[in-house]
Amino acid sequence: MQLIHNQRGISLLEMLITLALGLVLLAALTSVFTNTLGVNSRSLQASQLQEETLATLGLIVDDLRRSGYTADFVTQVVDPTNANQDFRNSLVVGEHPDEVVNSCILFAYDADQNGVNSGSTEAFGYRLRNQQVQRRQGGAVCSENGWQGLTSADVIVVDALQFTVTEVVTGTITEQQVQVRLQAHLQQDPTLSRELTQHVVLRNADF
Amino acid sequence: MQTSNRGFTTLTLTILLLAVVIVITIFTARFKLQEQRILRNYHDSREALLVAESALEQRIAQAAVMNNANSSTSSGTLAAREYELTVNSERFNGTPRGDVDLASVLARGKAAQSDTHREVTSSLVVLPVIRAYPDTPLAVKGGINVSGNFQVVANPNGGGDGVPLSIWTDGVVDVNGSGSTCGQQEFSNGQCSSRPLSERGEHGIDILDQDPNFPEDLLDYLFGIPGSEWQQLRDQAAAQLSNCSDLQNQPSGLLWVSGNCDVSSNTILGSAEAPVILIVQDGDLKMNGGAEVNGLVLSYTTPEDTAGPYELTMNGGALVNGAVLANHPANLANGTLTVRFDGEVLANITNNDAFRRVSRVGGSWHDFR
Repeated sequence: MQLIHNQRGISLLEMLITLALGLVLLAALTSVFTNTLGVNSRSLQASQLQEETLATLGLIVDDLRRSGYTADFVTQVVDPTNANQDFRNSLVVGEHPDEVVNSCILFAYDADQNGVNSGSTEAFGYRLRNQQVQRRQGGAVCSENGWQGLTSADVIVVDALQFTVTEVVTGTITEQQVQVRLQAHLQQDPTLSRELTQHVVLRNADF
Repeated sequence: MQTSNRGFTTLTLTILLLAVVIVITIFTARFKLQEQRILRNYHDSREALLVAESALEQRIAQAAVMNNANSSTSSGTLAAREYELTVNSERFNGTPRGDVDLASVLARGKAAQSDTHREVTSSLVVLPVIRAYPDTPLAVKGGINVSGNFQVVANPNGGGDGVPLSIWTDGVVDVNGSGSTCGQQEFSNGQCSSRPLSERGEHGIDILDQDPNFPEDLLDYLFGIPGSEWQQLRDQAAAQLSNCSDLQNQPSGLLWVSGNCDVSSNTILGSAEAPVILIVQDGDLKMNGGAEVNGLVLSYTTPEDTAGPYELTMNGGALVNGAVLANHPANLANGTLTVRFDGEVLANITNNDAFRRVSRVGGSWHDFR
């Protein structure tokens, strides 16, 4: 009897206050939680964008650096008149007719190290096309179809890809450099964008 | 007896929320970890490439300072990152650029935090400054007028096997003084004037004059650099001087003098082991009594010069062991001039490190095998 007496319950006022407090607390917690989730997903997206652009630029730059390499360089020194000139001056900057200027670069290097230009398999290039970075296939030129997409259009949208060739003179040394600028934003969130620029010194350049 | 079950809903709700949070956290953490791994690999690879590139550039710079790129293996650290270097050198004789060494330099760099490594290879060529040394002790473009006393000691095989050559010019050799040309043996025995090959009024086969094959551009013929680009050669000089007052303190190598050069008495320049190439650009060359040059002397007038002609004067007892060349008519007056062809001295001009230059071979850089 004693126990039952003590279980009186709470008054309506008490319950309303408790509920109100609980609701406020829950609302606050929910907003913190959703905010955290939002920030988290945004940071995920940001790093995804960063990775995509870095990897793309890295690939272009690494490839570009090899431009002009030939396994036959010994002949160029020892017997210049009989050396093949297959890979000399292969660097060309252009663009697809529907894209901005200098958004396409073509070059060649001796990938199979046999000393001669094997044609389409040793023709490399990168270009901007339909907001996508594309890699050259089958020796196609800037204006042709058949290039392969490097970036996936449903993840990142490439706003700019630009190649600028310059000659840098330091004292008696002249260096040929290519500046590669890549600008992209996330397809889902256009406010997230990245712009990366890198200079490549062409070690195999001709002067 | 009745227990309180009021906390059940709260507890369930809490656990559920917690579970959701844990799942999300684990998922995010895994994703992030994977991402970090990818990024770290990318950065390690960049780092290794940078180390390899830096090591390669350092080795190339070193070779350029030492003027050689001999085969070697070495290792070391750059900013606490390890690298290994392998240089493989090969000699090619008789190329259009002379006897050249071709060296491939392989640099392997390693990242600091992992085993990631990258390799880059580039080749260097070590070229002699002079393509081939002249096979005559005296070569002058435009003719020679000798009024003093002179002795030219011939290259015994300059005109072919056993055919001596002492003077080569596209002009006329006009001997007025008491001059003679002779063989090496005769010179050593002091019989140059008594047993000459040629003397005043008597041209022997050792004088090749009015030769239509005399090179139009002496600089190009000797150094492979067209006369119009003579500055290129000057930039390769071991020392660039404006006069010859401090000549004896110069190192062995290519010495470039712009303006008049007055070699003071008894100055001995170079030696058979460490000869010099002395180029006097747009100026008078005067060697005073007892002065001696071991190597090659070139009196050079640049195409754009208007202040010429310049004099080539040698006074009593001046001696050149090697060769004397001029790309303008030479007036050899006064005193006693002796030019002695010295094969050993001239060979050292093509082979010594001081006369070799390292350059990169275009088209040789690659980072794959």
